[in-house]
Amino acid sequence: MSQIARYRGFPVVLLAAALVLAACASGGGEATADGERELVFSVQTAPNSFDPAQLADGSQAYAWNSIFDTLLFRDLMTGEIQPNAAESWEYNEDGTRLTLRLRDDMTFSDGDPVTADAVVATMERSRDTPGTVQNKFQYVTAVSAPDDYTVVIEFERFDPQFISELYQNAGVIADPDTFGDDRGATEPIGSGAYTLDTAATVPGDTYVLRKREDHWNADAHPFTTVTIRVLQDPTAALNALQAGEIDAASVPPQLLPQVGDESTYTHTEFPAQSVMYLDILDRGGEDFPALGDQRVRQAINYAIDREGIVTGLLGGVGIPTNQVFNPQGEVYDEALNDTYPYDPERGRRLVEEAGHTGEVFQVPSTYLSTTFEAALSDAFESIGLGIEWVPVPPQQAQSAHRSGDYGMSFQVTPYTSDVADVINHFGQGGYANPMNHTDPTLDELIGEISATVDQEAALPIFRRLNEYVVEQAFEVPIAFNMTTWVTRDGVVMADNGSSRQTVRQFTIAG
Amino acid sequence: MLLYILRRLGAGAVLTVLVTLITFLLLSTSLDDVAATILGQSATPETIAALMADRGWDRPVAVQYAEWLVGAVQGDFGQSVYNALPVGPTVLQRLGVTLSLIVPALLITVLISVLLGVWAASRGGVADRLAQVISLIGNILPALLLAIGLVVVLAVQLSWLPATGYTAPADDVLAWMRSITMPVIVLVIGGVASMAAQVRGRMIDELRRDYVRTRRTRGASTSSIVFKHALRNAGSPALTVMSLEFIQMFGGALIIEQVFALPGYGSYAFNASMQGDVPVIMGVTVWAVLLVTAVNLATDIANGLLNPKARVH
Repeated sequence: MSQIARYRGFPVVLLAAALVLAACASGGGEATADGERELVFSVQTAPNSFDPAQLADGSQAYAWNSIFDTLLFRDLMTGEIQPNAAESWEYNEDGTRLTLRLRDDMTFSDGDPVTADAVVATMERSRDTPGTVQNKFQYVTAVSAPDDYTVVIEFERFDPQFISELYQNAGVIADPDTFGDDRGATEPIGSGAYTLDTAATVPGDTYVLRKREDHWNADAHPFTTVTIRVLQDPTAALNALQAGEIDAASVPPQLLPQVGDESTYTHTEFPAQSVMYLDILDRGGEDFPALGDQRVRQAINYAIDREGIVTGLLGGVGIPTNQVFNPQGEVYDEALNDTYPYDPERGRRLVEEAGHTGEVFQVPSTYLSTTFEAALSDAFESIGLGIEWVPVPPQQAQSAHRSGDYGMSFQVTPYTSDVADVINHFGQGGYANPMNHTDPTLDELIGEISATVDQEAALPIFRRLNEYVVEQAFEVPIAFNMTTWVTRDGVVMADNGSSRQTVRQFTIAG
Repeated sequence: MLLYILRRLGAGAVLTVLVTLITFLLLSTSLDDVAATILGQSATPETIAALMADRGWDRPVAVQYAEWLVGAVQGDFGQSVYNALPVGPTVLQRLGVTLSLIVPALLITVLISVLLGVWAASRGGVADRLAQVISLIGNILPALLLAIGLVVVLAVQLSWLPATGYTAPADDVLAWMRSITMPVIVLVIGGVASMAAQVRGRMIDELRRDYVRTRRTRGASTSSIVFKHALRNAGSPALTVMSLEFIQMFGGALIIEQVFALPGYGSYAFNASMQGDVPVIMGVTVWAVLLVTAVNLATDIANGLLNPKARVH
């Protein structure tokens, strides 16, 4: 027998090895014999630091929101602010003092009791530490604990956004014992329903959370173990879901047709998790005079084929819109969506009337915009304007947006609250308004909102503002991005997209 | 020989310092962008400046680099600016994942390539054409497509292997083998495609040499000529191809790691680059330079052992 011939059986050996390995296959988060139920789901972005002063919102919140209790909670179905670690809260008349009353049965995972001093220490540290949370305390002048379970926060003026920050990263309670220790960023100690199993966790890849049966709200958390897997590639997430390795994943529209048998998978659509829009940065026309002209801004709004973009580029998983406010919020006004029907001819006339035909705008080309650039370029051309897309690396996308070098930028902004949307989109210094544009009407409306402590009473002002900004066309809203979660093996979503990222969104069917 | 190795190691150290210096200079121009990315949409010029000062990024670049270099020499590569994890241990952990794919893949690639190349060169005819077709198919087949195809068939439809994820061999050897099987298959197919052709070509050249003809006339068997003489002579260039293949697999691991969701070196480096995570980029740069230097040095030494003419004194 020749040397070569001896290796003829090699493929058979490989196949046999594969079959042996296959025999050792294991599934995702199924119920174990003792009734324990594990949840495994995927996110695209790994959590950053667990330092309470550096917590980031978005999908990163699934991990830290499980480890830390937040003072307040956003209701899973209504989106209303609910008690959580704080049983109650109350503003004084002018909104410059907020008093929170804490539960008295909370403990940190190391056994120490949670007291008002811990809340004060966490807040003071976040306020004094440069990072993701610091800006949320910009109007806070003092935080104190008159007794073990009462926290008083003083403000230099009423901050309408602050209360909604307390169900996000500004509302976490961390163990002050961890503050002087670098390990707090990687081995967090909180009072949340879960603890991070650092031995089983592979940072950047897999985060394993173990339920605390002694947590005051343990009944609201049906899963004894929650494993968060970071799967950056949506196709990998879908493969993992189909292979039964994970119970839930957010699936992008273009992959939804591949999910398969509807009896195995449950689809849950969240109507609006973010808004996609072309942000007009130079609304006053300081450097780009055409954009200071309301007619040009309106013309751009008429030029956008929103239905076409949703159908052609978002796979139908989106909602065309003329306004940026959350359709699940209270400010959104369906009637405003008829303001700018797709009418490029009308847009062209407006541009001609304004005398800006032929103008070309440089716009940053970022990872967010690439899919939509051709459609937007065509839209501008259809009204006699032009776009020159300037490539910008991902880490410079924000700097480019704020640089003042561009009159417009393409943005996708996630929802937090109606008041945050007002400040972010139209307030001076808001992310979408980096050139600090304002006018007397905006000044008056935002001033009234900022002075009205009872947000229910402020609702008509919010709506007037929405009407005004749509008419002024300060932005070019395109569509609300819908998110579809696909779950299997008895796991279902417990919310309708109104809540923030929390493992309480997942539950067991029936 | 020892002097040669020391000289090469010294050159590697100088190269590492130069590469890291250039990398640091390039990265230092965009530290304010990194601060803005960390802060997210709440960033303002004031908060960006405060974060820059807090992290020491507003100090002269030379001071920052010197500080980093002193730490790196002592094994302290700093912390990720995003998740605060120490860079040194994390790089090694990620490197371990990637090497645990590449080393088995390379060994299997070498084994198959040598067998296929020798078979094609020594048998000729149909065997040779078959070997060339295999190489061609391997070259044409995109790794990404192959990876996705394997996942769909072997993981999703047949449930033989995991679609995603990695288990360290120290935790569970069988689970580790299962987790790397498909990535290794993809790497091997791409590797064999280029390496088998190289071995085949070199073997054909060797088998046409005078000493082979002489041995044949003296009645030596084909297997004796191939495995005792020709293969040894053809081994030297094959080693060079192998080192290049290793570096290529290392560089191309990103795609494999993304498709199979493996927490390897490629995805670690890619994410750090996208986020501008300076300490991590510096750490992966150092290890990449060291690894390439070590592989090249090992190849030269192995070449010297195989071929006395290639030895450096």
